[in-house]
Amino acid sequence: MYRFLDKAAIISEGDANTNPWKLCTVTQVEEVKILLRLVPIWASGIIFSVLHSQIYTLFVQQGRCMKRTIGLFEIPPATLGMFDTASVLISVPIYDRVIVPLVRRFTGLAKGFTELQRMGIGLFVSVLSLTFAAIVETVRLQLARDLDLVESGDIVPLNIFWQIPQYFLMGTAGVFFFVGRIEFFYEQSPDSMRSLCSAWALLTTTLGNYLSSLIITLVAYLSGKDCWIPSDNINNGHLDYFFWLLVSLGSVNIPVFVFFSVKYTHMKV
Amino acid sequence: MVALTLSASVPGLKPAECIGSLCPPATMVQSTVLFSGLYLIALGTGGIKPCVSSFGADQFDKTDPSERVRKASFFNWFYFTINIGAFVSSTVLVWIQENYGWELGFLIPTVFMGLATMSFFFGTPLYRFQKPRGSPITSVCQVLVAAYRKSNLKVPEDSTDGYKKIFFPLISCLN
Repeated sequence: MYRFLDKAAIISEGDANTNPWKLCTVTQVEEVKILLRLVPIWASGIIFSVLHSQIYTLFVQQGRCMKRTIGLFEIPPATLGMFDTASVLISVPIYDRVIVPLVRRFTGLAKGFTELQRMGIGLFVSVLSLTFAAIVETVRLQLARDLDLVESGDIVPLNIFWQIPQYFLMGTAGVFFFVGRIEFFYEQSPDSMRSLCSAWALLTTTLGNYLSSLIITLVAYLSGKDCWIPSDNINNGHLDYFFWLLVSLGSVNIPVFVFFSVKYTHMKV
Repeated sequence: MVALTLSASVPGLKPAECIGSLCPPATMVQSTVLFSGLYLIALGTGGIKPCVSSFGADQFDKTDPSERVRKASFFNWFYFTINIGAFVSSTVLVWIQENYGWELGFLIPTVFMGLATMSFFFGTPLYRFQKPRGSPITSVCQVLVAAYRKSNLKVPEDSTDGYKKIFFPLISCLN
């Protein structure tokens, strides 16, 4: 498949001069092949980051319309993101000190899971997080209808702590996927391209955020009059449908990722 | 960060106070300082983010099995520390900005960033360095251009390994 690139290293007549734009080393050619093999794995990060970016956007929107007071204290919606970082702070020690030694016993691998297995688990956990978000939203909207809060857009008396599972799961998904990805791109990239590949992996976060905006715009356009994501009053919308849409997107991403991971592993052997 | 701190604290660089409901708009200089601060942060983050994890991992010896395991652990704790920072900024710093204003809110991370840069440079004699090997992007482009130029050539029929054995010594000589 990549034989086309081999031609860059063939010496033909008139190659006596060492013009690097005409004749490349085999190492160079092999490095480019490695990069091309990484592309499908890389692309799976875009979908993950679409799901992950909901933490900073629609999870906050959802939290805004839930009961946020504890006694006299009111949690500002902007600090809801701290559930995500808090869950990372809890799950990294658990992962490093409990899960890895435990899994090591079964797999015999020093670091527990391979990087690709770890990323795959992250994808799965992120879908689980969106599933919780969708269920909470369904309950919240039902409550809004029952209490006649659809038109006013008032806060629905459902405690914000119901959002903890979705934040916590997404934080954990990040520990699996993001750290697995840093490690994967560091280990697999050619020696001279480590930083480049890491930078390239970070680009998926950006692309995922853009794709997320694009999906939201498309959904807003297609859902037309009965808008799923109204900007002023989400009690009148269907954020739950949108979350289910992301659940299906993430679910489609998993088998695609597994297919390319298996293919990647075989190619290396 | 310095530009952001200045634009939040120096009177000439921050838009004048509102008088009732009337707020004077920011001048050209004021917005330039603010936005150049923001864009510099983006540029700095782009430079530091991919390099700091790779450079950190480069400090471990690949050939030593125990260091290899610790390297895998390093990535976990690297992500952990980033999130400590995010946690502190979304709790403590938000609280400071709400109660003591943006001046202090920007000044604190600026001072810490300065301290971090200094401590990073002071560590220089302790680091292991990989030899820089020129721009990888140039190398990738060279392969693509060379392959395109020779697209009419035929790859030798024998297996890829065979031809590598023949050509690799030749090519190494040329370099």
